[in-house]
Amino acid sequence: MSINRRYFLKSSGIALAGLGAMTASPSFLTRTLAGITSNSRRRILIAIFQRGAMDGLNAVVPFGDQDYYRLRPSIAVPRPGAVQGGAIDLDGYFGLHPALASFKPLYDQRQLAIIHAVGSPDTTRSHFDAQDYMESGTPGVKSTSDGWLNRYMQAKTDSKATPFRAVAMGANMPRAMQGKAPAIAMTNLNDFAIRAGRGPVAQQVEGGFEAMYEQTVNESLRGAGRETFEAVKMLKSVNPSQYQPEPGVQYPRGQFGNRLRQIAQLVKSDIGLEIAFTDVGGWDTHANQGSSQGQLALRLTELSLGISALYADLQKQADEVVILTMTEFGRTAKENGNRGTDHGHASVMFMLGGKINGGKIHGEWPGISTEQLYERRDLAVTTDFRDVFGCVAKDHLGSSDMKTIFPGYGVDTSKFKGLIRT
Amino acid sequence: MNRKLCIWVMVVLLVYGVPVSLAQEMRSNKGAVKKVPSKLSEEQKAIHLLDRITFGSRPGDVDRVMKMGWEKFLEQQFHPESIDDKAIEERLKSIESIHLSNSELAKFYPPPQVVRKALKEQGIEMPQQPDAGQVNADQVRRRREVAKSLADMGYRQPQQVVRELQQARILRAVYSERQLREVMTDFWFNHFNVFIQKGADRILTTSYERDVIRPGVFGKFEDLLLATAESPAMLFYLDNFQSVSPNMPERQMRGRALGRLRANRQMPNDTPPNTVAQQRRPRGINENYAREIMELHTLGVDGGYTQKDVQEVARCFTGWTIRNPRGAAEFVFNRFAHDDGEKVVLGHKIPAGGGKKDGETVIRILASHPSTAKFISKKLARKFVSDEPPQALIDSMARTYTKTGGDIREVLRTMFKSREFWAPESYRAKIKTPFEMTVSALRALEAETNGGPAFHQWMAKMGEGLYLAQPPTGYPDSAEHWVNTGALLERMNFGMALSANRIPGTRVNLQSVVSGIDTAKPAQVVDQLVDRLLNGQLSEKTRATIDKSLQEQMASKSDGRLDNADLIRIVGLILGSPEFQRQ
Repeated sequence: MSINRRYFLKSSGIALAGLGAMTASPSFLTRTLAGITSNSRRRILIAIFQRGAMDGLNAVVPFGDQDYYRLRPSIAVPRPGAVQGGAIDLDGYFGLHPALASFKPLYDQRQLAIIHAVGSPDTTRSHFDAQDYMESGTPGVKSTSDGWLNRYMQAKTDSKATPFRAVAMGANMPRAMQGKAPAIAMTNLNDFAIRAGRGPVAQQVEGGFEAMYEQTVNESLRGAGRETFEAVKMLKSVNPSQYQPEPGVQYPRGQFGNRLRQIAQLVKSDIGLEIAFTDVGGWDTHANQGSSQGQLALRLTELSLGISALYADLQKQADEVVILTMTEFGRTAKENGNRGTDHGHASVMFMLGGKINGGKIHGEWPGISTEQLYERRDLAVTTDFRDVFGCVAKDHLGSSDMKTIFPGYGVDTSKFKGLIRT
Repeated sequence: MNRKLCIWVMVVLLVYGVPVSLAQEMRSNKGAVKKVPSKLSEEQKAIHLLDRITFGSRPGDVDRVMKMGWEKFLEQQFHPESIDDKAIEERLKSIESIHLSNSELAKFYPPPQVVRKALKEQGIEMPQQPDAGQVNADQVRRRREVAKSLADMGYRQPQQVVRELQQARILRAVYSERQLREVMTDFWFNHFNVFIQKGADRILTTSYERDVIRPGVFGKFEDLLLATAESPAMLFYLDNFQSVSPNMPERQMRGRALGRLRANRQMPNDTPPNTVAQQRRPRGINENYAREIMELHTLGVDGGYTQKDVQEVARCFTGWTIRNPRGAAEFVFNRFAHDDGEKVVLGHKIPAGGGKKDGETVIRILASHPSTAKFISKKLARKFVSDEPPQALIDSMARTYTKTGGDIREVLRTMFKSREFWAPESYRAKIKTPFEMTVSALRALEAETNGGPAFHQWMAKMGEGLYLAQPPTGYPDSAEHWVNTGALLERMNFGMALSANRIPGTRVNLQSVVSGIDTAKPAQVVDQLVDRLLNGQLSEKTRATIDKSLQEQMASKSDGRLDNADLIRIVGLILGSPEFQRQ
């Protein structure tokens, strides 16, 4: 953790000098909460990282391309109109995997945009490195200490920010959100408190812990401690758990659905959330990934049902929200010897929101004939993922400081001009 | 700190000074920082060594090490076979699955396919595999019923194997006298990580840790690397078991490979049988293991290999597979599945016709590569010294690695004898991982635990479920990974839960921890607890916080004595304190 973390906190106004160590400051809470609501339209980004590298070619299928069926004799998704498990036609050339059926109405309502052949200019096929690069936002540069979402927060300081400006649902802080600007990682909203019984004793314990962490010389412990107690108090006063899903909205069972449901609760509780992050695994389909059904289909079902439930749940806030999926790379265009796919290059991103110019497949399609493939094996990258991230950071979140967020790269903001209505 | 120790420490401090981190914390009344330290005191040395090579010191450990001399203690720990460990072996006896072979495990803890079939014959439908999230009451009831039917048929749940393995690892960390071996087992397992929830690894991980990792923790790195390469758990986890030469004859595939590999697929139930058969035919190389053995196990990502090397290494390992993966699960080299052409790996030519030797040659090339010497040395130094270990130390360890042919014990010896290891900057410079934090609390309090799921759950909530790291990287070893808002809260809550005996299967007796101390003298009670839990290493400020909390409690008492609730609170505060998170 950076040594400058505390300085940043101080300058961002979160750590109010007058805030007593032992007690919550009501004025602090009122100020921040009032601050949010008095602002113009809120902007919230919900980032979903698909860890393991999603096979973009089977998620958004180029069924109009003969090569697709040549390359994938046993795992290709059949053409639309097939007797069973055909792709869902989008534009006569591309189709959604049938497990993504719940995306189709959103696409038709022009709220879902698809970016195909997107990826990293770095050619690593290591999960670890590629995730690291996508989260740091600096492909090829390992020494970057912070993540792109954190740098966005550094670039756009917000004096009214609350401890819940950036929340990762999960046990660990994702690389994308690590850095000087404060952020929270949590597994469950209801557990986010000091659990030492009720009444004055519990308060004493909480106060005791708070004072200890306030004073420790260890930078990272002190920083994390302060953020912890600010957040605990705020969450207690706001109580997001009172917000239940809208009628008819059903999240898929399991960890992913639970996390999305809680993100929706944070959005609805007006707690100052600007960046939410969560991840979902199981995309590393080296063997037997299946075609219309099978392993990949199961993952896609959970993904699409989760995202469409989240979006339906946040219908009232739709104009404030962008949901963005990402994955570290795509997979080989040709299926391997195990009816699966190995680590490849470009993949697909989904972008969803009330202000999105959806209903279209963005990006340039490089083709998948042998000569068109990257290293004769992978879908080539025609869109640098940073151009997509940059578009979200600028047109949705409202920062123009691309140099800070994506150092060493000139984000081409014209590339996706109009993708997000500002 | 008791008075005698306090005076003793003061004398030491006057003579030697205090280490930097402590110096910053221990300020005199006037607020002036004391002298900058130049070296650790003898007591600090004992504490430091115990912090790093054990899962935390128990009462009396520091004195024992000081009396014995740290060199002798370390030497003992380097030779676990010389240490009597009957007590823990006795505890582990009743944990059935950890002693079973792969074939016994497969028989008694069958995979879902077998269970489903057995149930179907009884006219029972298998309930859906639970996700990590919520499960409703109806599902719980149905699962219970099914579990009972299975038990009646002599089957046990595969998840039991996972739970028992976690339990055994926790018990060993808490109670084994062979502490460094356990620390190193944790290290090497994480280095050669497999994910226990991936298919057959639910069964294969037990033998992997017992027969591959634990016996090899102090040996030659090359032996460990080869043992992992040949282990069914790794072959399955990184998919090499199904990596075959693209030129493999069709007849061989049908006749031999197919049946053997059949059990390993996770095909959806509704796939038509003929499709299943068709899909089960392996037809080419799989690069997964080839990439990770270089990136994560040996050279490191910048170790100087190319995509071409990945492909060549994958070719060398074709045919390294598993015989009877859902049964006895043994390593086997299938010559008919091996690509026997010539290969070039990292510039070394491997002539055609090498058979199994190809893979062994790759192991040798990788194990003796200078990048591996550096990569392994750095990872060890990060584990035992600090998150960013000094380059000079890494270099000197790497030299030992190369000189001794990758002798792990010797590399460690170089590290433990280095100036850098004993430097004041290294003292208490590491943040404990959740495993280390929770277990060190048990050891300091001499808790009684069964190591069961209720205890393990806490580690998982802090982000370190045992055997549950999904990516091949294992868990990162750095403070920023473990210190975040949510995880920190869980650490504090763990402290409160443990001290209040709210963890089923785990018991602490706080009364006995402070036995012989007058509870009417709170300061002495706190001294004793700080001594026990932190070897006296508490900042004045944290101490003041505890005293203040204590005063608030005492103010409302008529008899002026500390009761059990007071003890719970103080112990909980200390376990959740910043000091207790460090080692």
